[in-house]
Amino acid sequence: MTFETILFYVLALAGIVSALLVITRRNPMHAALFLIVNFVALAGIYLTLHAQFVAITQVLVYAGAIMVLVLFVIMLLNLQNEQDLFEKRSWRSYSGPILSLLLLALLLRTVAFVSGGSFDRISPESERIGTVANIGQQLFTAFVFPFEMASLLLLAAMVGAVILAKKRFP
Amino acid sequence: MPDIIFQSTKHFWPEITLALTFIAAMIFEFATKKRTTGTGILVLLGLAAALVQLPSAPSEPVSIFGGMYAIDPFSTFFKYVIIVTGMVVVLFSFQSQELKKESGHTGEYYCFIAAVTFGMVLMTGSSNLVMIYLSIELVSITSYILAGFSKSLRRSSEAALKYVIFGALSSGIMLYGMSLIFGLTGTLDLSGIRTALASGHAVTTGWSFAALMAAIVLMLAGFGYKVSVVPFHFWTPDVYEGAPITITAFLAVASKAAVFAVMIRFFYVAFFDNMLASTGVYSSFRNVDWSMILAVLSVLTMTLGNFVAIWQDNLKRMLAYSSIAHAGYMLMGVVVMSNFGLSAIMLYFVMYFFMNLGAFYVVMVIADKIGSENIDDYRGFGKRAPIISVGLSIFLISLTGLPPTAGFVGKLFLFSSVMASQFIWLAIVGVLNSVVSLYYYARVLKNMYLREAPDGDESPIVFSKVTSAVVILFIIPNILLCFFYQPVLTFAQRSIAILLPGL
Amino acid sequence: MNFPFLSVITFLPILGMVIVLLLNKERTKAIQTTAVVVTGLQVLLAVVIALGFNASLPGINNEATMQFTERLPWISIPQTPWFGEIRIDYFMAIDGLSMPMVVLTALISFLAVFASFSVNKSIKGYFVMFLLLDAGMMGVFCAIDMFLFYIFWEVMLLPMYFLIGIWGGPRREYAAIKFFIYTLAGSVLLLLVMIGLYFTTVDPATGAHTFNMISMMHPAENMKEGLFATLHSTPRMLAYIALFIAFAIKVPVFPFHTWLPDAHVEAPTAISVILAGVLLKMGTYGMLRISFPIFPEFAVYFQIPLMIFGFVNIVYGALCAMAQTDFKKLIAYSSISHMGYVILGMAALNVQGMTGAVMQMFNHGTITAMLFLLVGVIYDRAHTRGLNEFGGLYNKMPLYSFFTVIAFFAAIGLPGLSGFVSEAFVFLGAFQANPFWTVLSTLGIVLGAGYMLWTFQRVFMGTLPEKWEAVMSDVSPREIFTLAPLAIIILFLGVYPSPALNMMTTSLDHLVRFVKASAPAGQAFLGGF
Repeated sequence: MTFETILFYVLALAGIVSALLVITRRNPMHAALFLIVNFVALAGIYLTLHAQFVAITQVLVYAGAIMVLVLFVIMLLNLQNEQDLFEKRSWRSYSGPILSLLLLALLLRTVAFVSGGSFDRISPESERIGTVANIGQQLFTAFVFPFEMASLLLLAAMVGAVILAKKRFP
Repeated sequence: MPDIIFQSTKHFWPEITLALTFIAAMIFEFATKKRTTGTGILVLLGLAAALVQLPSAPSEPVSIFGGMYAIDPFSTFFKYVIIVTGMVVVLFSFQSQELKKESGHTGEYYCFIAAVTFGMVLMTGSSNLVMIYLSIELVSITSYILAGFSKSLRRSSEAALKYVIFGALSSGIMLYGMSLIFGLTGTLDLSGIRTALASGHAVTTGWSFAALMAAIVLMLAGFGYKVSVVPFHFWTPDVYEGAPITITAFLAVASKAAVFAVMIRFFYVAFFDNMLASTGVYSSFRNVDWSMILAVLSVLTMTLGNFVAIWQDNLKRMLAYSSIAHAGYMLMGVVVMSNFGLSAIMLYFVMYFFMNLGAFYVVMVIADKIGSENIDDYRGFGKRAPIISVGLSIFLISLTGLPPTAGFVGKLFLFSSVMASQFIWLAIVGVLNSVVSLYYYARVLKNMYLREAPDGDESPIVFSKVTSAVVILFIIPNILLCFFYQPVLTFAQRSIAILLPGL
Repeated sequence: MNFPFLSVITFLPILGMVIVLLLNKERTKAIQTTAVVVTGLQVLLAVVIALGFNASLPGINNEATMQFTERLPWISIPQTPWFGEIRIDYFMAIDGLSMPMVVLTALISFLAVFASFSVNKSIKGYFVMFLLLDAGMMGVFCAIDMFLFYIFWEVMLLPMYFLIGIWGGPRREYAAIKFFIYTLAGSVLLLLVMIGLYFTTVDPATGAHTFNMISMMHPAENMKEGLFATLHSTPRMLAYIALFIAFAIKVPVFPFHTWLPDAHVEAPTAISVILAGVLLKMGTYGMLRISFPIFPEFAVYFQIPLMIFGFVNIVYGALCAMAQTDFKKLIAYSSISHMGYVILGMAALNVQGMTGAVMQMFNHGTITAMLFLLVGVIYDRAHTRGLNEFGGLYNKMPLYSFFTVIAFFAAIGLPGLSGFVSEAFVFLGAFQANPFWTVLSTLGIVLGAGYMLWTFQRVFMGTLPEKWEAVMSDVSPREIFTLAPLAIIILFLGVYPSPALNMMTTSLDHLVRFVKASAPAGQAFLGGF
C-alpha cells in the first residue's frame, strides 16, 4: 500500500463523512462548515490525481468564494427556528433523494463505461492533462481566442455589476 | 501558433473594431463625465467603422483561430443586420425621453450597446461549443444590464431580475447539453462533432442515442430561450415590456438574428449529412430528426404567441408576443433544411428589421409624448397625428404580412420554402396564424382610426420634424421592398454559404 | 408595344389617390372633382377598350389570343445552383371573361363616387381609400400573372376595412374586422395554392418556375414534377377545395356568408354599391379564371356539389331576405340568393350556363348597385331603413318609385329586363346538366318575387306615415344621374343583350370545351344525385 493509496482512503473517508454530516446537521451553520471540509477533501483527491489546477480552483472558488456566499445567505436569512424547515413534507422533500440516486446511477454508469469496469488505475494521460503547465499552455495556444473573449465577457460583467450596484443618482 | 493568430486576425478586424469601441467608449465615459451624447457618437462611429469593413470579408468560407471561429458569407449577412440594428438603436436612443430620465449613467448604456453588438457578432461566427457558450453569455449578461437600465422604473428592474434568473437557468441547461455532446463525441468543435458522429455507430443507437437526443433538446432549450421559443418564452413579455424600448427593439431584432445564426450553424454543421446541390436540400444526420422537434416548437411558438397577443392591452407587450410569433414563423425556415429556407430566413430578417424597428420607434415616440403604451390611449390618433399613425399602420400591416408591404414578401418566401419542401401542414398552420395575427394588429388600427379620442379632443399632437422624417424613412423600405426585393433576395441567396470544414 | 390601356385603367386611381393626398383636406370640392375625373376617365377608357375588343378571340388558356396584353419582366433573380431562376412578370391582359368585369368595375366605381358625395367625415381620407380600392378591383380583373393577381386581391382588403370601419354605421367596428378576417382567411389559402402551383409549373420558354396562370392551365406541357403535377391526385383535389373556400368566402357561398350582411348593413351606401356590384364578382371570377381552368378535372368531379351550393345559396338567401325588416339587409341577402344563380350557371359546365353566369355577374352588379343606391336615397332622408316604418311613398316620390320598380322587377327576373336574360340562360344550362337541382332552384324565383313584391307593398303602398311628410322629397338631380345609367343598362340589356353576350360567348365556349376536354367525364362526386 503506497502512500498515495493511504492518502486517497483518508481523503475519501473525510469526504464521505463530511458529506453525510452536511445533510444530517440541524444547524445550517454547522452544515455549511462541514461542506467546506468536504470541498477541501475533494480538492485533496484532485491533487492525488495530478489535477493541480482543478484542486486549486476547487479551494479558491468553492471552498472560498461560494462558501462565503452560502454563509452570507444563511446569516442574512436569519433562521430563528430551523426545525420548521423539516416540518413540511412536500414533493420537494422526496424529489431530492430521488434525483440524488439518479445522479449516483449516472455517475456509476459513466465510470463503468469509461474505465471498462475496473477502478484500479488512472489513465496515464491524466498525469499530463490536469497540470497547471498544460492548462496554461492550452489556454494560450489552442484556446487563446476563447480565453481573450472570456476576458472581455468578464470586463463587461464587472462594469455591469458596478453600474447596477451604483447609487441611483451619483 | 502565433502564425495562426496573425493569419486569423486579418479576417477579424470588424470584431476587433467592435471590441475596441466598447473599451474606448468606456474609457471616454470615465474620462469625460456626463458627456453621454459624446459616448453615443463614439459608439456610433465605432459601429460604422465595423460596418464598412464587412464588405471586404472573404467570399469563400474561412476558418480562423484554429477552428474556433468561422468567417463566411452566412455570418457576414447576419453581421450586417446586427450592426445596422445597433446603429439604429443608438440613433433612437439619442431621442428617447425614457433614457434621458436616467441622465446619471446613459454613457455606460452606449458602452453596453457596443458590447452587446460585439457579442452578437461573435455569435454569428462561433463554430466551437466553447465559443458558442461564451458569446451567448456575453450577449446575455450585457442584455440583463441593459434591460434593467431604467433603474427608476420598478418594472425595468423586475424585468432585469426575471431575465437574469431565467437566463441563468437556460445557460445552465445549455451547458449541460454541451457537456453531454462533449462526453459523447470527445470534441467541442462543431465539425469535429460531425466527424465523431459519422464514425461512431455507438452514438446513433441505444442509450448513447438517447443521450444525444437529450443533448439536442437541452441545446434547443438554450437557443430557444434566447429567441423566445415556446415553452422557453416566459421572460419575453415581461422583459420586453419592462426594458427601455430601445433595448426591446434591439433584443427583438438583433438578438434574434444572432441566435438564429448560431442555431443554424450548430444544427447544420454538427448534424449535416449531405446536401443535394441541385435542390439545395440538406439531409440530417442519420436518424437524428431534429427538424421535427423544431417543427413542433415552431407551431407551438407561433400559435401561442399570436393567441396570447390578442389579449394584450399594452402595445409594447403585444409586440413582445408578436415577436414570439415571428420567431415561430422564422423557425419554419430552419425546419425545412434547405438553402431556400436559409435564404428565406435571411430575407425575412431584413424585412423584419424594417417593420419591427419602425413599430418600436413609433411606440417609443408616442410613449414619450403621452406617457402611455396602452392601446386604448391611441384612440383618435389617426386624426391627431396623421404621419405617425400612417407609419404605425404600415408597420403593423407589414408585420401581418399583407401586400403591398415588405412583410408580405418575407412571408411569401418563408411559406414558399415550406411548400417547396412539401411541409404542407406546417404551411397551413403558418398562414392561419397570420390570419389570427391580423386581429390584434387591426385592433391598433381600430383604435387609431375607427374611434374618437376619449374626450373628443381633436387637437393635433405635434411631433418633431426629425420624428416624422424617421418614420417616413422607415415607411419607404416597407413599401418599396414589396416590389423591388430583388437585391435583398439576391444578397441573401449569395450568403447561404456556411462554413462546412472537411467537406 | 401599343398604348398600355390596362395599366392606365388600373393605375389611374392610384394617380388620383396621390393627387388627393397632396390636396389640402379643406378643399372638398377639389377632392371630389379629382375622384369624378379619375373614375370618369376610367369609364371612358373602359369604353375604348370595349370598342377595341375583338370578341372572336377566345383567350382563357391561349396566350396568343389574350387581348391588350402587356408583359414586362418584373422580378428576375438569376439562377442559383440549388434553386432555379425566379421570374415574376408584370402580365396584364383581358379576354371575354374579364372584359364585362372591367366595364362593370369602371361603371360602378364612377357611380359610387357620386353616391359618396353625401359622406361628410374626413372626405380626403375617404377618397384616398376609395381610389385605392378602385385600383385593386380593376387590377384583379386585368392580372394574368397570379402573383400580381394576389397582390391586387389583397390590396383591396385594407381600404375596405377602413371604408366600412370609419364611415360605416353603428356596428361598423365589428363588421369591418369580420370582413377583414374572413377575407384574409380565404386569401391565405389562395396564397398557399399559388405557391404550390408556382413550384409545379415551369415556363418552357425560360425553364424557370412561373406564376403565369396561362402556363398553369397546361399541365401536360408545363407541369412535369411537383406537388400538383399529377392529375386526379389528392393534392390537386385539396388545392381545388382550398381555392373554392378562398373564392366562396368572397362570393359568398352559404356557410361562409355571415360577413356579408354585417358588412352591407354597416357600410356607407357607396361602399355597399361597390361591395355588391364588384367585390362579390371577384369570387366567381376567381373560380372561372383560376379554379376551373387550372383544376379542370375537379371542376368536373365536383360539378354536382357546386350545383348544390348554388341551390342552397339561392333558396337560403331568398328565405333569409324574406325575414328581414331592414331594407339593406334584405338586399344583402337577396345578393346571396342572386350569386347562387351565378354558381348554378357555372356548375352547369356548358355554354348556356356559363354565359348565364357571367351575364348574371354583370347584371347583378348593375341591379344590386341600383338597389343599394335606392336604399341610400331614403336613408339619407329618413335616417332609418326599417321596412315597416314606411308606406305610401309611391305618391310622395313618383320618380323614385319608378326607378325602384325597374330595379325590383329586374331582380325578380321579369322578361324585358336584364335579370331575365341571365337567369334564363342559367336555368337553360343548368337544366341540361342536372334537372333535379335546377328545378329545385327555380323555387328561388318564386321566393324572390315574394320578398321583392312584399317589400314594394310595405314601402310604397298604403299611406305615408305623418312623420315622413316633411322630409321625404323625390330624387335629386344628382341621384337621378347615378340611377339613370343603371336603369338604362338594365332596360337595354333586357331588350337587346347581344352586345354583352357577344363579348363573352367565344371565350366562355372555349373555357367550357377546354375544361371538358382536359377532364373527360368519369366518376363524379355525388354523381347519382
